[in-house]
Amino acid sequence: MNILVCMKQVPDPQASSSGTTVDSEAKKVIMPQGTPPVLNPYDENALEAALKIKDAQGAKVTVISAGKNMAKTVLRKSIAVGADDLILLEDAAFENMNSYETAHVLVAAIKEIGEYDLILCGRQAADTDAGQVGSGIASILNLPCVTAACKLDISDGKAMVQRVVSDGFEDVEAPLPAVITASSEIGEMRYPGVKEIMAAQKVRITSRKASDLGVDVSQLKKPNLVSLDSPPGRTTDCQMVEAETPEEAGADLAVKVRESQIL
Amino acid sequence: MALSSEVYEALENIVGPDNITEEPATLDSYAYQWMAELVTNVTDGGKFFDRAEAVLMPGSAEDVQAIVKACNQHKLRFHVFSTGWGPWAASPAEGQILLDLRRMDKIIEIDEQNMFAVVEPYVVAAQLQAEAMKVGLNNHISGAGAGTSVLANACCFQGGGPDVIYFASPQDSILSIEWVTPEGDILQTGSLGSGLGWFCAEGPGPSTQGIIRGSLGGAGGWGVVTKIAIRLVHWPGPATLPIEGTVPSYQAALPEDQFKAAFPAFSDWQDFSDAIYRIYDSEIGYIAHRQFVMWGDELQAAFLNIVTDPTRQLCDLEELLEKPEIQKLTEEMQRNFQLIMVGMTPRDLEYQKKVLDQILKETGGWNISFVEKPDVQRYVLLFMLRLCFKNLNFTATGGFIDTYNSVATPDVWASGEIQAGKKLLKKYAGRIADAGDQAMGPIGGQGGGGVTGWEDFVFYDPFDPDSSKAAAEVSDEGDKLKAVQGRPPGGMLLGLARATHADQEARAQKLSKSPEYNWQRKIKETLDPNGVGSGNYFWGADTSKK
Amino acid sequence: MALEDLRATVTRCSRCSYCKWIPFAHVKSWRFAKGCPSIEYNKFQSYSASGRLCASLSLLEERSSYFDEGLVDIVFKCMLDGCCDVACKINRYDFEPVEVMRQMRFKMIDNGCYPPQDMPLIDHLKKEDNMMMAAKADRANWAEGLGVKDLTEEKAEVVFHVGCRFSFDEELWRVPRTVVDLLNKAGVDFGILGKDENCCGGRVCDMGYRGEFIKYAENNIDAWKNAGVKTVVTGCSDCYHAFKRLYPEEMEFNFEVVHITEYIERLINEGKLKFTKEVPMTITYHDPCHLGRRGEAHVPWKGEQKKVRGHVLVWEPRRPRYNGAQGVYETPRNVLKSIPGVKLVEMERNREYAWCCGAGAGVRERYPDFSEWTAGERIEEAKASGAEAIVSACPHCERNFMDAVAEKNESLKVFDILDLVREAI
Repeated sequence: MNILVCMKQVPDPQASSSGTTVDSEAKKVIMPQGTPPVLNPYDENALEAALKIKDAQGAKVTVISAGKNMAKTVLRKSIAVGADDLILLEDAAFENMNSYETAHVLVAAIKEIGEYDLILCGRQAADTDAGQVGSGIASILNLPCVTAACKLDISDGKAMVQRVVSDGFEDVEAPLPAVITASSEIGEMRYPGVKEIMAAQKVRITSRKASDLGVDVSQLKKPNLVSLDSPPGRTTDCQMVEAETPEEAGADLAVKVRESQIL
Repeated sequence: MALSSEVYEALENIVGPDNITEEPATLDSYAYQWMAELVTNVTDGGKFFDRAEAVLMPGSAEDVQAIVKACNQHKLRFHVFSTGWGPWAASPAEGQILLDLRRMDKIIEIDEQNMFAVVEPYVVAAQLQAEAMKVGLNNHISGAGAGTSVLANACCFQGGGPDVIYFASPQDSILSIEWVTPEGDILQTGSLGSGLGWFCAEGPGPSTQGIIRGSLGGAGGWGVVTKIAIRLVHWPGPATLPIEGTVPSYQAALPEDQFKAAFPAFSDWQDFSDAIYRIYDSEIGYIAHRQFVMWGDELQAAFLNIVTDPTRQLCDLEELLEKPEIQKLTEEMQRNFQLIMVGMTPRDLEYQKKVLDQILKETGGWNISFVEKPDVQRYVLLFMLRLCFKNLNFTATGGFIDTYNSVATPDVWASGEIQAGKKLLKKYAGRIADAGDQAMGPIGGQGGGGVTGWEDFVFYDPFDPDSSKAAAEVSDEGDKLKAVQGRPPGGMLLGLARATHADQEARAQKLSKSPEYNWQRKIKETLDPNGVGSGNYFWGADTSKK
Repeated sequence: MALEDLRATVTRCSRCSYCKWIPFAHVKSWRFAKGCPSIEYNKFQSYSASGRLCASLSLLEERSSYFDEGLVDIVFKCMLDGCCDVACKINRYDFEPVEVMRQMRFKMIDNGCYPPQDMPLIDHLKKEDNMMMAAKADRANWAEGLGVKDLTEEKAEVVFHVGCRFSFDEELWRVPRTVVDLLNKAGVDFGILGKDENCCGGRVCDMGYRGEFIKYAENNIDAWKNAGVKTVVTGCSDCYHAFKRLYPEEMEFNFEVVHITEYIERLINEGKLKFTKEVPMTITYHDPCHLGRRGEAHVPWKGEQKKVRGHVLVWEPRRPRYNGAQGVYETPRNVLKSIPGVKLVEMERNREYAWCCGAGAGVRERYPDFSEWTAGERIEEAKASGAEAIVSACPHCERNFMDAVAEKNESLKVFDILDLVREAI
């Protein structure tokens, strides 16, 4: 069984919020200096789902990632946890791609690979939160797509998927090949040991450029980012409710909350 | 053009995989050099010379020999350096490899009885001095300072300095040499060649020393000197320099009855010149140098106040220059030099001090009292005896070169050339540091007297393209002035290097004035038939045929 | 400040090699003249401060790339111990070599180019708030039975910040326990943050992960504010450097920071601490880089470089000069000298030009062989001084020396100053 996992390198979503700023003019989020990129956490969930299938029934897991100046140390973590192959689609033209462009570039690589039974993505990227790449791939390849998976079983050429929905769970069955996007509930990615991390640095990885794949991103129609601004500033004010007894304090608090129309 | 895998493997097999690299940033860390922007700006370059194809780190003369033989076999050019400071340490052209000799860093022997040391290329002067002082001896330190190679200064490039009045020039202090020739043979000269040890140079009669060293030295393109024996002199001071004071204003608290720093000063250049003759004749002094004028005669007093006080900074400069006492000191120091007297006994020092007093009396000179302040006295003693602050040359602007320089009998100080140099620098004031006369140089230039000289320093900012351009222009103009007087281009080969990058014709013109360079080139053509020694600034087109 | 802002500096390097040696004035032998472990171990020019400046310009000019294979080691195989910085600035009043090397690291980290072996360490730090791969819940085990005030529940003006190494290295627990004992004896009202104490972030900042450092700095400052703390006492030099230099550089900081040796000297001077027993021993003191040359207090400054007399470079207004002159050197020596029986001898390289222990800036974790070699060199130097013990004021130095001594099967003893203080009381 061949499983393809699409993974993205993103700015660390756990970075210090006070050090993170928005450059509205350049329409860029500026991370605090000295903050390494990480694998998109939802993509890590997708990889974990693939590895569980590999553990249970055997599979070849190939990770694909696209971008410019990609951090190989970070991406090789996928090999350290058990992926068999890493294909980097690296080109100056792949910088700051939107979901639509990314889906096209990934599809070009997927077509080149040719043989696949399952394509896994994270439900969304931690930086853009767009959540469109998975469905984009499915749409271009004309494959079934199941999003926000929290459980995944493969048997008899079919995928049994449980989805997270706002008021519970939904069970879906899809024929293979299919595209499935993973949610965090599907499981945190296993942690590699130092030995595996170091060994992964030596594994040969495949690199493909735009010209190798025959894609021209500039020809794609796409929405433009019009503006990017910092969230409005928030101020907090703390007033202590003082009273003789806790009961009185509670009552006073309730009155204050009502008066200030918070409730 | 990277090395072919065949050549790379051949070289890797010699030094081992840890001692060879092709990593780009590392190669650039070797291509980056002081003065590079002045040499390469004629071809729109920057701080980087040509990148070497690989850097190798041999660990022994045998490694070096194997590399040189491999280079002959594969027709690959190599360039070699020890501490690697200066444009002559960078690869002078594309397609070459660099040999970094830092692994060859041993003091093999200090022979106390016969007063010499045997060293490898990466032993720096401060190390040898520290070890020599333990046995009552001392070594010459090049004007480039305590961090430069003893061997390279003696055998491979320039190497004179403030102490030659007592120590002699390093090329005159070389005893035996071990040299890997450009074809990869190992030549041992002097007593070593006869299997008798290191104690004696060749002679009487013709010697290979003139071939190995030539006039200025082969500057990295001329075989590899792997060991030398060098003569040492007496050191009557303590076994370890007694260092006191707060960084950066360190001082040496040496016994006052044996060590004395004086700043003889004069009201005109004729007196200055006469005093130098008298110092030679009376054979006093351990070190004699016009040192602090490197900051310019207009700034030296203020700068000296800054560097001797750990709380001061360069931003104090202007305030200091306004002070009447600094203005007075500046005036006093205009025609001064530094004389370090070291008594082998207290009586010896007393004698030298009396002789100096007499010389000053006869020439109308005086000793500047500022140097009598204990902190200044100790700072100056340390500065001159160890040359540990030599990089203060870069303090003012981040870059310096020397240009219009002179080497002659002491009369030259009174010949008007100092004023000519000052005028040249003043012409560029504003584009370079505006500091006045910056004619820094040894009072006893060659072998202890008879010859003196200076380099006119130019302080420029390597980060400012216009300032760099101005420095290059001063250098070119200085060379022209010298050419009129029939003197070869100077300035640490900067003029030649610039010409090399500009065009062969210009270089040929410069070289035609320089029989000593042509001499070295001729020898190289004979002893390096495969031309694997790097294309250096002396060799290349045969200018004698023109 | 970013690497791009340091372009002038990296263009003005004179490439003189002073950064590779101890200050030449202080060279006392062939053997111990070198100052930079990084180039001594790794040999090529790019492993010196100067080489890294040159490489920075190469990167800024896009002659080479942050992603080039081999660059990670060049940038990170260095303790940032700062001997280069001291030696360089003897002559260069306009230079900040360590700052260039720090910025280079930040830039590499931003690009995701770091030693892969960092991954577990940093991920663990994020989860457990310590650099020791230990569980946060075990952080206060060292203090068991001591009854120290817990500043998450009570208040005190003095917090004893223990640090990751002292908290989790059982063999060194004796040191923080002694601190507690001493502070109690001296009647100081103090407390600890116990299990909720965080890493200071200093080491991770030196490793290049400034983003993580900012988080820890903010957390620690909040915790101290909440506990009414005015003075922070630490026995760890890495923590000291973080609080004294890095925190005020990055954010508003209104706490007094005191290394335990400074606190002890204060107690001795006030007569609150008296040594009664003799400790007959010849020892040498190893200056931790982060307490010595890199431990200079941050001084706020805002200004710019300008030129006078043509091109002479000056800072306007006068800029604080971090050249090693203001490090903590004499205090630990004063404490040692006041212990009866102790004979203090110096190693050749001391104070602002001491040789590093090899543990700093993540080298112990990232490049253990290099770290151990560096410690081994220091052990040789300590032996040459004639001392029977090497004493320091930083748990990281001590751990590295202890391991090197064990590895080399040496008889040299390794102590913290507090060990001798305890013996003398």
